[in-house]
Amino acid sequence: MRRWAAVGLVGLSACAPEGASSQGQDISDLYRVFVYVAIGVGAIVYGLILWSAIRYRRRSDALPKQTRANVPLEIVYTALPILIVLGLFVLTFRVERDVDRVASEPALVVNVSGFQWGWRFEYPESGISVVSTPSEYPTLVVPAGETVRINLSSNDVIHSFYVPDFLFKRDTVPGQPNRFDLLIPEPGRFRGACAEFCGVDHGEMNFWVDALPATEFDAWIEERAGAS
Amino acid sequence: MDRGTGGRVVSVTLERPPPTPPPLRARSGGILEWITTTDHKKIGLLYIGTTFLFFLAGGLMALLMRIELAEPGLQVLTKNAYNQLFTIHGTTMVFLFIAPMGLGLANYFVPLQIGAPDMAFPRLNALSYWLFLAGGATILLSFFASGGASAAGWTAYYPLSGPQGSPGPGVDLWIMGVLLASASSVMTAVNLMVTAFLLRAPGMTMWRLPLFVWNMIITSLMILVSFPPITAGLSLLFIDRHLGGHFFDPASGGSVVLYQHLFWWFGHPEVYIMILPFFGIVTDIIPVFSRKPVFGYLGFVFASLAIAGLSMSVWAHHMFTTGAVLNPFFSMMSFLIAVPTGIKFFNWIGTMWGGQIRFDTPMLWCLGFMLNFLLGGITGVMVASPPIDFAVHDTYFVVAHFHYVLAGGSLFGIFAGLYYWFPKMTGFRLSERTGKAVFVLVFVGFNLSFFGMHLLGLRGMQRRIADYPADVGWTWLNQIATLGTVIMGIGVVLFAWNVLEAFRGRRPAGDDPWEGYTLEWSTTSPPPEHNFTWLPPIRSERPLFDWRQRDKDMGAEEVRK
Ligand SMILES: [Cu+2]
Ligand SMILES: [Cu+2]
Repeated sequence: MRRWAAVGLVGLSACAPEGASSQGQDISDLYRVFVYVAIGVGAIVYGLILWSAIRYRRRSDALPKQTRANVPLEIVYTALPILIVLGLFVLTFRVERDVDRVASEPALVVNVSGFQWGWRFEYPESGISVVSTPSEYPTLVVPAGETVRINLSSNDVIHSFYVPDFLFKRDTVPGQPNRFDLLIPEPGRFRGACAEFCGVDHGEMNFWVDALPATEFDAWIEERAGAS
Repeated sequence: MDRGTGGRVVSVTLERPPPTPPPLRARSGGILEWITTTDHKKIGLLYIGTTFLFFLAGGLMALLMRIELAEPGLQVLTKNAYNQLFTIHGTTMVFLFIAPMGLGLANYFVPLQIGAPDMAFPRLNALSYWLFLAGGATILLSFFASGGASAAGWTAYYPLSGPQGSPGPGVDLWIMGVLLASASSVMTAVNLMVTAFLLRAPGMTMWRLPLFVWNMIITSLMILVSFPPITAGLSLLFIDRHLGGHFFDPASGGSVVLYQHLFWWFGHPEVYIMILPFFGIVTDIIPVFSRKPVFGYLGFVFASLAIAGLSMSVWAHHMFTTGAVLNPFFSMMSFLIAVPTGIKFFNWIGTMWGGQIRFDTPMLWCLGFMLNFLLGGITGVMVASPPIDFAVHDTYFVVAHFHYVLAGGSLFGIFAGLYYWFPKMTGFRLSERTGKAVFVLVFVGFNLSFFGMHLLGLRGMQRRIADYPADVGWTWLNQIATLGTVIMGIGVVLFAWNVLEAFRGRRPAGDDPWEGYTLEWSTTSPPPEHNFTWLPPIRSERPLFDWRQRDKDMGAEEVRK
């Protein structure tokens, strides 16, 4: 049974995406640490529950020893979890600081706004604007290997910019602009969606993120900026 | 032993009770009797029956949603219908089933467990129930309003729940229903606290209270602190919708995030309001079936108090992705709340350790409760870490997490309590065999339903979508989940049969079928009006155990002679 619990949790860790952005990689690493701690704690506690359930099932009518408390033991099982969560908190604190850090000079700024029910990606430096159409999900094109600032906003209801492969989402909150930095080391195409329920077509608010090599990205900017 | 409590003198005889106490049958209930009753047991039964019906309604909604999700594409529901269903499913389970079921069981058993004849304010108690019923009816009948029920989610985030986002009357009815239900909860909380503080039988000191009673006191405390903010929040929402207010409207200087603060300031304590009663029930049951006292009584009470305190300072962990609360304080507090919760696991393990455990149905449900809730607790520590929450928030990982807590935990605790106390409430015995089958079906069905959802969330399936693409690899996990829900549904139907069969079979349960420890087992099943004709002396938290031991010791002496 212990093994079953461990297999389940290893399964959980295996199913977490690697993290296609550098922030996502940090989160993925943190997640793995949590899963390993969970396997350890889970194995002990599941083991104790099942062991006592099996070992101490009723075999006779004799009255067992009426133990009421064991103060040293109680101190141990209070103090140990405190130490464990403090350790997890320190790791969390470090990763959160890195994930939330924004560069002073990002290579590219994109203003992302969510609306019912689609996305608008605006590139203020080049005047490019990409919007959802009824037939097609929009694509957010960014350069790979460079820091991209995403500014989030919404004018109707709350949405959430979510890319599963980046292990990251951040809400677009009316009246409260949000921002975060994204660095995608390798080129690739990633599926995105709206994560905050926003009405009837919430499930249709999908988009794509294309991380292109620098030269291709420059070519894309030129082509799109020329077209508009 | 005669002792005054607060000017009230109650005499307790040390003599053995008469072999069969004269049955003080309550006037048999015509419908008028049930409508006008102020008897805590009748009100308790009304609560338990009503909340169970609401559970069936909420479960049916879940089943419909799961059937829709079994395949990509829309087969049986429209998107709008799906959105109404998950909104009312969540609202029903939280406001109309789990929390009030805890209050209903408390209504019946807190007075009995402390040796009191009734609740402190019987009429207020009746008012609580009828307000609750009115609230529940308002919420469920809102499906028939024009435009249907609220489709803004059980959290009703502004602006989606605002005048532009949801123009129809669904959200208004939802607000009214929730306000009625919360007013009812506040009244019951006051009533329970006063009852537990002032109506204890002589000898029933605070440190001899059954742990269910302790946890209900602490639950009541949390209700008193957490329901006013949601009452305020929903009232402000109503003003914004209809009276031209702009509390949450950013265009006029309001704050969207303020609504979330008000909601979760209630919403997180509510999580513990929905679990502490069942921690209490499980902690009453495990010692009885292990034939041991509870391990670490004081630690358990202080852990409950710590949970209540911490639960007031973690609300913003539901809002990490808003970017408005990146302050690590909320993460730290959320991690810490795992410590008192962990203590409870060691209380339960320590109680079973070295015992003689009998696995009758109530104990089986307790075992299921521990196994499920542990996973919910572990994933709870994960989502308390903001970076991990950035990944899994609003995905099926979180859906899995809170169903492991509320269905795997609270629902299993409810079943434990119902199987444990059914003989006391009705005087009849449930079939153990059917009960065990119900347990297996619900346990297997539950885990099939929800374990895979962790993986769905990690693979990026977001919550609250009626449809999903066929090419993302989510289909097989969804099919397993739907299968699990169907199995759970069969289990619940079998449970209904289990209960009906017990009423038809009329197997007498006797006063004390489980060799219980607490005072409710010292009276008849069901108890007479005003509960007791006799009380054993109360010298520990297990008065009935002490009494039986006294009998056995005297018996042993006689044998020696
Ligand atoms: Cu959305
Ligand atoms: Cu919470």
